[in-house]
Amino acid sequence: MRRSPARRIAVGTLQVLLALLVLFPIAWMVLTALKPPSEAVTWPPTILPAQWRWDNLLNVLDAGPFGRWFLNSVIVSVAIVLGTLLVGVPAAYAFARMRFPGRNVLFLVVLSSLMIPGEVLLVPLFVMLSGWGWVDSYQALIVPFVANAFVVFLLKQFFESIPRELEEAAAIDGAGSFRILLSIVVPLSVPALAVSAFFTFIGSWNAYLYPLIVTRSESMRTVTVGLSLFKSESGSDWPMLMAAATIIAVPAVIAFLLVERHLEGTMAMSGIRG
Amino acid sequence: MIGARRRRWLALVYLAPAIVLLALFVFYPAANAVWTSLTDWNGISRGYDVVWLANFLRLVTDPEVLGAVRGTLLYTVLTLPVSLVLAFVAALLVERRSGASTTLRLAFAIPFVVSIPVVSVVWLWIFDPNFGLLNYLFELVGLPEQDWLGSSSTAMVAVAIPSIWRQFGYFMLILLAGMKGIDASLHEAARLDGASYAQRAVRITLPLLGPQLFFCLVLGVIDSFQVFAQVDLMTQGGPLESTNVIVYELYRQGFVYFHVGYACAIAVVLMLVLALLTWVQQRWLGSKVFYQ
Repeated sequence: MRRSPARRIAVGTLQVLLALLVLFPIAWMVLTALKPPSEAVTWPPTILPAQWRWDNLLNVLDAGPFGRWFLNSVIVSVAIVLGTLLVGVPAAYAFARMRFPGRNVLFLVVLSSLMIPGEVLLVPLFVMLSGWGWVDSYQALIVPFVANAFVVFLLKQFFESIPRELEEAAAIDGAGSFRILLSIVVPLSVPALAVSAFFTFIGSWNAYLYPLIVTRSESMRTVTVGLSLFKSESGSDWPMLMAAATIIAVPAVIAFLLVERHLEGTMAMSGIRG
Repeated sequence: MIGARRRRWLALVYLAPAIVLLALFVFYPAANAVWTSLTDWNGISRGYDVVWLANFLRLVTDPEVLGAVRGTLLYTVLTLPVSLVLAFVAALLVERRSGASTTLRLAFAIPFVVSIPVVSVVWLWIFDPNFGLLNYLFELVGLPEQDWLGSSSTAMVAVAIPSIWRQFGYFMLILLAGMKGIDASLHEAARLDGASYAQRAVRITLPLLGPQLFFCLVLGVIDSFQVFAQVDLMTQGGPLESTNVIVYELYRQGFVYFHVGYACAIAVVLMLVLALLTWVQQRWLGSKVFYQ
């Protein structure tokens, strides 16, 4: 297919303009993060920092409890990702490959949990967790999110696309279902596992309303809630706030770049989002 | 071979953690929310009265709740059409697999993985009435400066812009997946008949992306109805309640005013509306819209 030069220039210009427009807020966040506080509040604003303060990014980790909040978010997100796979993989395998009475009904029940928005659970969960003495704890931030119906659904779809013959051959060789799952199915499912881990990670790393409600003490806050506290406390120290925002954005962007090549195929297959 | 009975046991073992956790942390609390919505519980005292549908009857005439519903609808109308158009244009721009397109694809999708609180504070800074970049740009081109988030006429637009920015790249990814399924010979035939690029985009690509666009639309409505963090970080529902939305109202009723029963009633209505939307989506996409 040949395109006329005029159209190629038009498309190219549009592409560049859109890319600049889209990435500019991110660039502005990073550029502000690298300025000294006084420079951010000059008029007219400078685009590039007159002084590049790279140490702003390190200083923010030492600023009050921000380092602790970051650590909390890492602990919570990693635990949720691992837990979700640990619970989701066997469940998805049972739905994909095992025959037992009530299978379809149970699968529908699991899927129906996706119809219930998190906001509905907020009040009753808070009351229940208060009763257990879980408010302001890691378990309150982690355990309710470990069973993820979306992950079970996505993995089930993927497992069903693996040729059965491989598992049958292993079964004839005497491998039990647990070994088949671990040594054949899981290694073949890396793309689906990566995408599941990605959506789970993004979801928990970016969560805001739920951690806002189930944490109370400063030391149990997660980064997103912390950012909001930071905002009210930092006044007009925009570089500090933007440095905090930059640090929060980095893990999510890295996670995205790591799984990006697997996303399209898996998304097309499941037709759903996280 | 393993006996059927043992296999049944194994399936149960594999499924038990997921089922137990979902029952405990999703189904039980959801049922509890429905029950609480029928009471006047304040969240603290032991006792409460069952008021049946009184909360729901109050909802439909409560000006604060109705304002939140209006705010949510306004937010939806401000974000979704623009996001969908941008997503379609972006998808057309990066459709062909080339080096530049791949990089652009990443650029468009990156805002989606940046968390809403981060996006909100970045735009808070851009909208800052004293030193914000947007007012600087307005000054450059000779337009009057605005207090974007501080004036009730512009606040919701200012809340919507970051959402559009964050959302359209994700829609683009969904549209791109759909474009892959479009038969190239359709475009080829139209081209031979003298159809221009723009004509082909509007007459072939657009209608064939019907299912994906519809999917994005419903997804977008569902997301818009659950908007919270933007409002909490940028405006706290103000000024003059102009950016109050349903979930923000739910949060205030439940966790600020301790009208727990009432908050649960809002949540139950939200759940029913979202369930209806999902049902419509499934029905539509399940039956007629999928061409491939």
